[in-house]
Amino acid sequence: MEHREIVDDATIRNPRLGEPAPPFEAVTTHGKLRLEDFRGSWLVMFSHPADFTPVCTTEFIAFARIHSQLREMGVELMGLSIDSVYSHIAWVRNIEEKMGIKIEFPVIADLDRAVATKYGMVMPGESRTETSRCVFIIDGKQVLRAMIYYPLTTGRNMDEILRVIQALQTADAHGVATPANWRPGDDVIIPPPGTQDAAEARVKEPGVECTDWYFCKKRL
Amino acid sequence: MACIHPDGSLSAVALLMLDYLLEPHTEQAIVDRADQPMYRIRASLRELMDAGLVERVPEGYCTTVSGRAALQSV
Repeated sequence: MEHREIVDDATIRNPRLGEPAPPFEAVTTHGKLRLEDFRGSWLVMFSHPADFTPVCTTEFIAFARIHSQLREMGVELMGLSIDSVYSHIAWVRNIEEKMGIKIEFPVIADLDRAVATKYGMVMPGESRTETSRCVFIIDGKQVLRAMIYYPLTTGRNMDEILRVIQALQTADAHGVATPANWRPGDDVIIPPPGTQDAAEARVKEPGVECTDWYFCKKRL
Repeated sequence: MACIHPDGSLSAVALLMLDYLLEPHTEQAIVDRADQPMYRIRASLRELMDAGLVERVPEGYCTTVSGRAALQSV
């Protein structure tokens, strides 16, 4: 058994930013779904350690509360843990009954860890039997655009997840980058010019505020 | 929320799709009609196609002869 784990660790490469998200087919609370079913929409796929645990319950409620905002941004949501679909159904029903929050996004029942292994969601240093709090942001072309990992003890920040997606979608739409702590409406960063002529032109460009030729911002 | 229940009976969404696909329609048209997210329509179409109740046609998807029979038996 130990030998097999070592082989698995050595042969399975964790996903990387900018590469296609690993494809899968999985049993979920909405039936059998494939990653390709989400093509054309952005997808936030997140893992949680276990059903019927307090931090995860607060996170499910928090994800449910941003679900409609995500959908307005063209983003679908999907959870995952190494629990059965019956456990997921019971937990989701419990959340609705006890907390009054309806969970409308699908949750993967990854009992054989097939998806968790492909995405590197199990962190053996934390737990060998549970997935950590991972967030994978996948764009409409099914490219992995951002990954955020939180430890078992720490519930996720929904504002940051929304902010990252807003920043990525803004970057795609306008060919810009976003500075630290950027929020929608803030100035964005223009990619630095690649030639001396372009640098000369950049600092004279109307509507652009330059601290120096390589560090220019503009309002969208 | 599977489209076909374990006992073989069809969900409300499956029946709606079979009825709508008596005439060929695209995925997006089904999404608009069923008011369901695209991922669920795609998964349902796959399930209905695996069961032989829906088939791909040049205009999109269409209910098969078996699908029509399943619809009439409800």
